[in-house]
Amino acid sequence: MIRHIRCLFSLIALSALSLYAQPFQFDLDAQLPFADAMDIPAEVIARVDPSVVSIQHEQAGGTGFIISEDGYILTNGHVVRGFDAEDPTRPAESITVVLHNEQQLPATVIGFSMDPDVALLRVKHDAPLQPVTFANSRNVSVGQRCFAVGTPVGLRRTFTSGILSNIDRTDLGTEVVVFQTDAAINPGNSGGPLFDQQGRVLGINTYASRGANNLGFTIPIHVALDMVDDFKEHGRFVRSLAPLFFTGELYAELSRALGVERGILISYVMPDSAAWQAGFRPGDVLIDVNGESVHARTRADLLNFEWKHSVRPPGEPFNVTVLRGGRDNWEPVELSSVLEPLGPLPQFGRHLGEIPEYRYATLGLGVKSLVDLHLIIHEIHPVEGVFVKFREDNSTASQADIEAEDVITHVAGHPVPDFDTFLEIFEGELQAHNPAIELRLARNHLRLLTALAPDYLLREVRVILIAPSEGHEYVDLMRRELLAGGAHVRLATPEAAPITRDLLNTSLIADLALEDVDVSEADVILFVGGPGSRSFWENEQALRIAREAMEQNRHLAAAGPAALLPVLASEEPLTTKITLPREDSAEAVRRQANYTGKDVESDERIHTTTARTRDIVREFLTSLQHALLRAPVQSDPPSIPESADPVQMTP
Amino acid sequence: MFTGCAHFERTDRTFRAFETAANRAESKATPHLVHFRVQQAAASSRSDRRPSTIVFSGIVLTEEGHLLAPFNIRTDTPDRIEAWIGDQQYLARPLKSDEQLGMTILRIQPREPLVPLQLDEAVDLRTGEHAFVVISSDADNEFAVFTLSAFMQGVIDGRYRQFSLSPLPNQTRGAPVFSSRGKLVGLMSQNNAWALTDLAEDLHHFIGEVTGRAETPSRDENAWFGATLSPINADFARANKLPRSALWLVHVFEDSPAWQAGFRSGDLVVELNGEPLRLSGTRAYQYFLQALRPRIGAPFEIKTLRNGKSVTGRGRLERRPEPQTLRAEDLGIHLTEINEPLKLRHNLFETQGVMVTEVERGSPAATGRQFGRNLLMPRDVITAVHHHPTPTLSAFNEALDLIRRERPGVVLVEFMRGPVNGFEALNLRIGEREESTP
Repeated sequence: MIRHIRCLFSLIALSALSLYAQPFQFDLDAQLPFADAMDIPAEVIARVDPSVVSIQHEQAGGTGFIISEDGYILTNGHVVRGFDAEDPTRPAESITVVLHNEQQLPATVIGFSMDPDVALLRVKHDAPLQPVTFANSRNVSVGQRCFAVGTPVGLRRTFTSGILSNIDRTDLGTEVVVFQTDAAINPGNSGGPLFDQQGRVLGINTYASRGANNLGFTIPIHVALDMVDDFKEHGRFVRSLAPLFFTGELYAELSRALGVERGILISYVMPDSAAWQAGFRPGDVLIDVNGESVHARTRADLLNFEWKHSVRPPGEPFNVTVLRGGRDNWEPVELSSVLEPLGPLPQFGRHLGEIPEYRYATLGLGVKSLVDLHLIIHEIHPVEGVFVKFREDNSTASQADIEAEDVITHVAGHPVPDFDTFLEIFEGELQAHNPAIELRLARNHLRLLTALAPDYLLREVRVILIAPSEGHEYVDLMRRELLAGGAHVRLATPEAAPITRDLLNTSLIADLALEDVDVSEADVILFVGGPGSRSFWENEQALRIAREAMEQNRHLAAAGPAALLPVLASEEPLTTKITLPREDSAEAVRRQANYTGKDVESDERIHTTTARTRDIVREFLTSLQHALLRAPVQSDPPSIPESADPVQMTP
Repeated sequence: MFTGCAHFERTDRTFRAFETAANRAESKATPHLVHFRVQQAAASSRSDRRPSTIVFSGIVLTEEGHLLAPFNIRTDTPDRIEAWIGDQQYLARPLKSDEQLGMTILRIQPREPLVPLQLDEAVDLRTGEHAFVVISSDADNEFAVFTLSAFMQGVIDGRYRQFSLSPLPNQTRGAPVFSSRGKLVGLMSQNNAWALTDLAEDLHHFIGEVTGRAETPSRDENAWFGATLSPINADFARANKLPRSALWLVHVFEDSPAWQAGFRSGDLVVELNGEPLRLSGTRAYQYFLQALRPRIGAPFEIKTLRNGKSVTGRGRLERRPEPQTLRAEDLGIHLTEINEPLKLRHNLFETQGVMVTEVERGSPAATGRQFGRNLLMPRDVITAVHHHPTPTLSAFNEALDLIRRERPGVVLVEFMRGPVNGFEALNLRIGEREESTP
């Protein structure tokens, strides 16, 4: 496991590398005598060319290659990663794969990982696609000729060649050993294949050293193939954990100083972890696993050992012999345990992390579940609470003197040992409009007492949030931002069925069924988006609610496909401006709606959004809030007393 | 008609009182008023700035010729500083500058004893009250005194409060300010008057330091209170009806002056030396540090709130405990013993060890197997060397002696890096000089 932590040092190493590489450039004009032998045979080119694809999406692009006739494609994780800080597991939005014949296909991300930097995509195609063949990347040699195919700086179908310069590269701090090649690798080559001379894939081109020449790095193909099944099965790469311990190679000096010839050093065991309970202790030297002697002299040996066990199925036995005792009295000790699946990773090194952040942008506060690895990565003393991942400057949270990487241990005097308890208590305080929510924080050795004082600008606003039972998006985001703003939020679903929260695996309890929604009891009707909200187009109750909201002059807000509801619910063509996701826009045009195509549209009391991303939803909520504060609803009888203009409600 | 006359009479009296007050201020100030004239040394060749002359006011501090100037002036300044007192002109030499006060004490050799301004008799201004600012001038190369009037508009809080005065001409900095009753009030800052009631004590110390009359320096970085302080959060204070100007004693170190005075972690400081704290947030902390005037032996009296009850404690600041340090040149590291403050400052997870503070280049500890990475790093806590536990620096020294006797080629170092254990073997042959390598 120590490899994860080592990643932190990798960036330093990488930048130093590029720095040092500069002075060694020189030109070689001499004609090479064996130029002919370097040619790649035309039939090899013809064979590999159709397997290499270009990948494009809204953020960036790269290269990939087809590994099966039914459309699976390998590329780098960083080519298809999303940029959603709150859900780091979310890939880029709309990915297009361009085949060698310029045919464009939409692709789905089956799974991706940033370290090892591998992603699996899938495209649907009527005819079978031509897959690559694989070389045995465990058996390669330095000096071996190779060539790369890719889309460097957008230049499609670029072939570059070189040799394998190193096959045991560990200096980049990656979780696995990578190959180094002098075949030109440039931005856009990412995710493309490195072929051997016979046109078999050696690896996935991944990193290039900025400012250096001809330093490209390639993930060995066997590593990527080890991950494919996990991607298909779980949507993510599940590491097996030989219960959490940190290992180190027994380099020559260490071997001498310890007086142990062969083995792998266990340098750290987290107290009370599964490894600790299985009997592992820091300073043990691992010499045998499941009857096979193990040894690591170099970092590469160590990474290979760790990778080998990381990809074994969880649940398999991990029976080992360790040496324990010290210089002159090493004694063998037998320990047994099983490989456990490693839980979601926090963000560190190259990893984007797999733990969702629960952000209250209204308060400038984002929290996450605190996991054991957080304690190690952020050097937190053992404590129970939730981890502050995000704290915005000049926000309610910054006024409360909260800092990123603090741990919130108590809310309003109650301990919050886990995330669910935190949510329950914290949101209870928000609902009660507590003007100063007392928080206890753990920061390093210190315990601090402070208070969070939300503005509750929407304290007089009653919202009914309407979500489809399935296929909804950002419902919890909308609920919690409105709640944090002080609004009184009720959730209505068809048959009042509970729905799943986004990001978390828990349920949101519905307060109402659709038929029980009384528009006069709300200031804002907000229809949640997501593909499931298309079902509202033909839902009698949803149409009734939308129509009544317009008749009674309420604020009608709708996201995603549900944004068509105002159009569908009005008897005459709607003149108010609306927006919709692009794929649904035809419907709007057909009904002569005033469709603008912007991401967020707010016209009088109708507010619509494409809800394409989390940020757009937040922008929509902000715009909705502004509208509410500008033009509070005058209900009949008025729900808001004259004096209670929300603008002046700031405490 | 009669009423009109009475009204006129009253107004006339007011004018006359105003006139009297201005004259009183002028006569009070003049004997102590210094006119400084700084002629800047010729600019360096790189700059095309032409040498210029700056003038400002100041006051006399001692009979023997100590003067106060309202700026920080470097003691090695190449500028020529003239001090005019009445019709006498002197050359002044800066002795010491105080960053916190933003003032400098200069020295002249007076021909006869000077008349120092009495700083202790100062009073505060009330809002709306008139103030008289007495400034010096060298118009036509003649020493002249002008009295300006302004009214007090409000107080700016801080370690030294400032009385905000209605607008005055620019060059008033350093000039003494008097109340309408002729009492000394303060000294002019850029636009406002520093309250001398706040300033006097620090000024006295400053003078004492320069004249050698004070026994201890006014501030000493080695003075130690022995607690980690953190300002109270404003919203928390409001919700709990606590003062906004308050500081948590987040951590009180055992046996420190704060501890001996009876304070414990979680107490809330609200008063220092009989006065409520001022300002809020980090400025409250700065105020506390300045008002505590940290020097070894300085007495303090602090009032805290503990569970709603007030607790007052007294004590004296002590010398900050300096952990012992060591340079282990065989390994190429500098080490320090670990004490409580160090543990907190570096967020250490282990105290039974010695902490690395520096790794020497090219030494056994600096040599890494990975590019750009040392075997040992600052903040590592070494718990054992060469199989000998090193809970203290002396234990580490013993282990070092052993290494020198046994001369092993490699030495095992066990340490904690943050919460994680580490083991490295240092090759002692690295970094040795040519003649000692076999």
